[in-house]
Amino acid sequence: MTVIRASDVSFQYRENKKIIENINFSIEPGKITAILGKNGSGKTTIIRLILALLPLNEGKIYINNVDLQSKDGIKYIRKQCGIVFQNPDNQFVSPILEDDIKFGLSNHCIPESLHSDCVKSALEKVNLSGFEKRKISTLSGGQKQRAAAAGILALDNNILFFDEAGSMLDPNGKIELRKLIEKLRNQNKTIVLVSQNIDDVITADRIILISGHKIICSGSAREVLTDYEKLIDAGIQIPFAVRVYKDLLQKGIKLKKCPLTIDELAEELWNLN
Amino acid sequence: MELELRNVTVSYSSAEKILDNFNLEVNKGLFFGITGKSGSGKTTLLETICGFHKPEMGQVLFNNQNIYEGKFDTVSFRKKVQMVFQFPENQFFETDIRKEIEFGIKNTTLSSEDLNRRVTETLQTVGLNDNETEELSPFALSGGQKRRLALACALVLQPEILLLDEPFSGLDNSGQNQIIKILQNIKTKGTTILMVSHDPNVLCEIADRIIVMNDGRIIKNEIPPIVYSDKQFCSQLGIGQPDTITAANLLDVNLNNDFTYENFITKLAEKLLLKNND
Amino acid sequence: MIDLTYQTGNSILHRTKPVIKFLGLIFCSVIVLLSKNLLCTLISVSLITILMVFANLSIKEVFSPLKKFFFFLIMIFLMNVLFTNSDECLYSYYFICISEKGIEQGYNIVLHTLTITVLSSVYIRTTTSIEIMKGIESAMQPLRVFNIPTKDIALIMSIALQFIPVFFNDIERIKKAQMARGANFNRGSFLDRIRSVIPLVIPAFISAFHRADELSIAIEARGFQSDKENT
Repeated sequence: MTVIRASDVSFQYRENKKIIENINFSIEPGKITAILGKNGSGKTTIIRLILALLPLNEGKIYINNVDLQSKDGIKYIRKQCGIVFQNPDNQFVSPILEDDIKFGLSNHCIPESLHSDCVKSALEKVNLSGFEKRKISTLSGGQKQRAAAAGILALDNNILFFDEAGSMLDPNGKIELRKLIEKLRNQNKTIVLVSQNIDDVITADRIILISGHKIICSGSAREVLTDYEKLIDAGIQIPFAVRVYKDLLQKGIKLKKCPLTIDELAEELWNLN
Repeated sequence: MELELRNVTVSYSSAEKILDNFNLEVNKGLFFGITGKSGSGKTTLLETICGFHKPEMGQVLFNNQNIYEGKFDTVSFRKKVQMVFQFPENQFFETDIRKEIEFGIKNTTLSSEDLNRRVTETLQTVGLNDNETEELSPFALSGGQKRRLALACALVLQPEILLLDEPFSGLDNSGQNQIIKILQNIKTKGTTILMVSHDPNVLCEIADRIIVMNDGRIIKNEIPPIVYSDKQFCSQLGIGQPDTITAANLLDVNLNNDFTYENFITKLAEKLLLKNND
Repeated sequence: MIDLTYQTGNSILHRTKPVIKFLGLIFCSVIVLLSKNLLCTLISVSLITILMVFANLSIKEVFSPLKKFFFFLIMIFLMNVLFTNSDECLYSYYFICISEKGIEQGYNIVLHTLTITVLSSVYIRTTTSIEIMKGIESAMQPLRVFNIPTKDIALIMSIALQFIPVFFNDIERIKKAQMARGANFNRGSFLDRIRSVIPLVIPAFISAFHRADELSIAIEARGFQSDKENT
């Protein structure tokens, strides 16, 4: 059972400049799927096509078997999907946090009498309880991204997209955001992460690797992140433990299996005896 | 000593001190990495060194002259001390790469031949000197190329001190590696560099000294091995720990204060091969 | 320049319905503009006093955000006093003519400008961005008959308001970056100074357009339905 299915999707802005070509993939419910690729690889374009923020001219996209291009396709997507963008500053409509969340609620025709409760429960979900009246400009980067997430959680979206949402945050902000995404996965939300940073995707259930406008590889996080050659091909940084594994191999030292994290590396080295 | 901050205190409004009794000595030719949580004052530190925030207390001395004193020649100072801000591509306004770089040296006494030569050399230094790229407008460049162009705009003045505020933000792996190569090149030419960054792996590879900041103060000013060895300290101050150090501590590998990746692999392989021979 | 941000509070004005505040602002502004001299002074002083009471603001709180604005007002006053053409000059020197007419004109312009600025400033400080938007939208309802997209306009106006400080911040940042690479905004002839503004204005506009682009995508993603889409 797939939540999102893309079939033969291609996109280009101008003649002869394809951004993505013949993309086929599916996204499963209740899991974190990461779309990994370097800048300009087309990953943001894919997300925008799914969310109907760009016109789909070639190929088909289905959300819960609803065709994106059908009569009420776009309305359906807006109800099901929410997105947190890369730049924390350019996604808020109001300077006060609760007003911004209420903006989304109004757009989805939720009665005003329910607004306060929706805001309160959304803020609880992102650990920002009590921040209703705060000015968004006084929040840290990590808090802003959590506030943006609260905005979409208030709408009870089931499919949440994070488009390089951690890339402009400091290390603590990145950690906050990752914790939130884990928490949401545990609440059975379907999450799609777009990133070029392996630290963001290492806990994903599935990774789709994009390079040269195409999907070159997809599978579990372990399968993709230990595929040294494909990562280099895609211009993605190799995880430290994988790099060590490969470099030790060149020096004639072979570990039983390729580790993904430093802890696994330690375990493998211990097992060498 | 080329640059010194003595008891510098800087605040924006009456309440909050952004830099608090800050003391720093910068010797010529060294590469300082500046790290710390968001809000610790790193950007303000660079801007203060550059002449943008007159301290309420204390002095900023360049070659023993206070840069905030009335008679100080700020114009020639700005040629010797260049700052590259975060997301510097936001400052582009020309439609021609060469013109964009020339903006900085327009007001110098260089002849037009020398000017052209300087621009060409700078383009070479940052790897943007192939014919195809030179024809493009700054806005048509890729993210990594834009970043290198912004760096070129600062380097064309051949500064003695280069200040960089998070030069790797938003760059992918190859973009980042290109900038690192350029910085290493500049360092060998003797330029003093102060770079703000959150990436402990990069800082460990290229910085001579690390300054850890918190709440406008210096918490540590040491060589990378000393700063990054304690995991708890790193976590408390939000600066992260380089992978080589985390791994070396976990695997009990002695790196002899050289925390570069090359050394880590060498020492690790040695240790494992030794074990095998036992 | 002017403190255009909402300040939390519980005054009478904070609690007044947004549409009433908006229409009240328009109404008071029109009254002020249509009056002159002594009458206008009385109206302005009364309005500002009433507002101060209703908004729980002291004189200092009302006027101090406008400090930088006063210089501008003084310039306007002087321009009118010195250069208004009149047959009866109290004092004249070449093209300078100080006349009663000029003084009166200068006074009225400054009074109008100052009063409306204070009214708007108090309005913005006691009304959240969303309320401003709702107020404008409600007030413009009658215009929907003419197919004017009132909802879109209201959204645009309230977002524009909140991004003014952001825009000024961007300019400050760009100014520092250009100064760091040798730009000098205070030097040279008048023509030089105009030209020196280009490295400031172009990046600032690009940055603003970029923000607008990203924000419009974010708004669309959150289900905002433009007036044109409602069929």
